Amino acid sequence: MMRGLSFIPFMLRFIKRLFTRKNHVDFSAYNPSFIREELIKRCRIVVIDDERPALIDDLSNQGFAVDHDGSGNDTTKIEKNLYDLILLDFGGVGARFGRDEGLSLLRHIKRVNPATFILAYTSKSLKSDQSDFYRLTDATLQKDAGIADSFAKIESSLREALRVDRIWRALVEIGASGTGMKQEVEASVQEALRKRDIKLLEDTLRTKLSNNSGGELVSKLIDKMIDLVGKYTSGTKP
Amino acid sequence: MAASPIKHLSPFPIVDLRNIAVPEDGCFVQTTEFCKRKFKEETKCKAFYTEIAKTAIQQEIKQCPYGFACMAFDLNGAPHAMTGFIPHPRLGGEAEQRRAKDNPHAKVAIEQLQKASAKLSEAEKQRVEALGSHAKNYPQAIHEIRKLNRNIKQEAERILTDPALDSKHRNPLITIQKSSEMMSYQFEILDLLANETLAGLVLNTDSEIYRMVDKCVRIYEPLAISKDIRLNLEGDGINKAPIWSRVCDKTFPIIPTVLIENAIKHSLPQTSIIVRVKRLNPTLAQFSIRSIGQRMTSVIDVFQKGVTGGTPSSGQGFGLYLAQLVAKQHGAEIEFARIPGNECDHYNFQMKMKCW
Repeated sequence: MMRGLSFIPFMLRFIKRLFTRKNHVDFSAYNPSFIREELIKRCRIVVIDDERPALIDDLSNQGFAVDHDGSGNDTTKIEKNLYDLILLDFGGVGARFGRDEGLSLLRHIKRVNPATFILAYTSKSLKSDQSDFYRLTDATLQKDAGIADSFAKIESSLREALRVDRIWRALVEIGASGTGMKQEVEASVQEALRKRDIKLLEDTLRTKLSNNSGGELVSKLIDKMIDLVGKYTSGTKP
Repeated sequence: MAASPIKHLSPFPIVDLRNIAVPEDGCFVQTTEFCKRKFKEETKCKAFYTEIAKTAIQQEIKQCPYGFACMAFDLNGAPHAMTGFIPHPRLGGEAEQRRAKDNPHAKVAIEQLQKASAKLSEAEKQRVEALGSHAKNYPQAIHEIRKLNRNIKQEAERILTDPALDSKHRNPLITIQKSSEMMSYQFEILDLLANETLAGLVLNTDSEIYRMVDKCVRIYEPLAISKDIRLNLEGDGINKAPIWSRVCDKTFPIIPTVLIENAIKHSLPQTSIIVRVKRLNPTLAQFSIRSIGQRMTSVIDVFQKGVTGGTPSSGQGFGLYLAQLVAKQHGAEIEFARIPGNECDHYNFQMKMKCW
C-alpha cells in the first residue's frame, strides 16, 4: 500500500511532462549561409596581441575589416558587440583584468559579451592550470598556421559567429535572468516564429529582453538577430 | 616530491624516509647482505627507520638494532638517512663491535659524514633551481621558435602566390613550406606532451577527415620519398560524399601526424605506406595506416609511454601514447596489429570514429 502511494508523485510528474508543451526554441533552422564576399562585407575582426602579426595585413588586403589591439585593456567596443570575431593572444595582453593575462581577459569578455566568437590565437605552450584558455575559447588558430589555413579558419569562425542560434543563446544568457523569465521569452519567441512574423519577433524580443541588464548590448544583438533571421526568411537558405 | 637522483651520490647506503625500503647502495659502500636479509626477515629495521622519520633531529647519529649507525639528514626538504656505517667516535655496544669487525671499510668520522650530507643537500637544491629555471625558459624558447616558424611559413606562402615564379624557385619554397608545417605538427605534439590536460578539451570543430589526412600526407610525402618509401592515400576522397566529424581542432591532427611519421620511421626502403580514410556506414568512418617494417623481435605495448621500436630511428616513445590519448578524447581507439612475414612484418594501425 505504502509503495503504491509513493508511485503516485512519479506518475503525476510523468503525466505533466507528457502534456506540457516544450518551449525550447530551435533557432538552428534559421541560420543563413554566407558566401565569402558577404562575410568580408558584414564582419569585423579584432586581433588582440601584444605584437602586430602580419596576418592583419593579409586580411586587410583581402578586404576584411580588421583592427589590432595591442593590450586588450579597453573592451568597450567588444562590450558594444562591434566585433564578430576576436583573435585572442595569451601572453602580454589583458593586464588590467588579472594576472592570467589573456585568460583573465577572456573570462571578462565571456562575461560581458558571450556572443562574440573567440579564437585562441597563441603559440605559447600553456600549463595545465592555463588550459581554460582553450576551454573557454570557441576554437583555436595556431599562430604558426599558414596564411591559407588561417583564412579558412577565420572564415569558418565568422560563419559560426553569424549563427542565429548562437546569438539567441547569448541573448538569453544576458537578457533573460531566471528560469521563469527564460521560459516566458522562449514561449513568446516560438509563437512569433511559428507565424513567421519578423516584426512580431522583433517586438517580442525588444519587449521581453531590453529592460534587463546589458541594455545596449542586448539591443545590438537583437538587431543582428533580426537581420539574420530576415535574411534567412527572404530566401537565402543554408 | 619525486625521488631525487642526487641521493645516488651518497657515499653510504641511503634510505628515503618518506618511502622506507631496503637501503640503496652508496657510491663507496654498498648495502650489506646482512642488512638486506634482516630488513626482509624482520620488522625491527623498518620500525627503526619509521621512528627516525618521526623523531630524528637533523644530522643526529643513532644506532640501528643491529649495531650499524644511521644519520638522518635533509635532502633539500626531503628526509633521508645515511646508514650502514661505523662512526668515529663510536656509539658503543657489542653489536657495533661485531659490525665493525665484519665491515672495516664502513668506518667513517662523523664530522666527514656530516659534511658529505650537507654537500648532498646543496647539490639537490641547485638541481631543483636549475630545473625551475629551465621550466620557466623552455615555454618561452619554444614560443620564439614557433614565431620564427610562422614567419618562414607565411613568407614562403606569400612568395608562392607570385604567378611569375618559375619551378626552379617554386619547388624549394614548397619544400620549405612543408618542412615548416611538419615543425608545426611537432610543436603541437610537444604542447600535448607538456600538458596532457589538453586531451580533455571538448570537440569544438567540424572537420572533413579526408581533407585533413590528405594535408598530412602531402606534408610528409617529401620525407617518405627521401627514404625511398611510397606514401599513398586511398579511400573516400573528393569524388565521394565528404566524411565529416566533430573534433578538437587543437589535438586531433596529432593522430594522423604521429601515425604517418611513425610509419615512415619504421618502414623499410622500397615499400609502400597505405593511408586509408573510408566510410564504413552513414555514421562510422575508419582511418588506417598499413606499412612494412623490420621484424619485431618481442611483443610490446606500442601505446605505452616510453616504449620505443628499438631501432636507431625510433623516437622517445611518446608519439603513439599521445595519439591514443587523443583518440580516446574523440571517443575512439587506435588498434594495432602486426602480421609476421618472412623477412619483415606488416603493421596496421586503424581507428574507427563517428562521422556524418
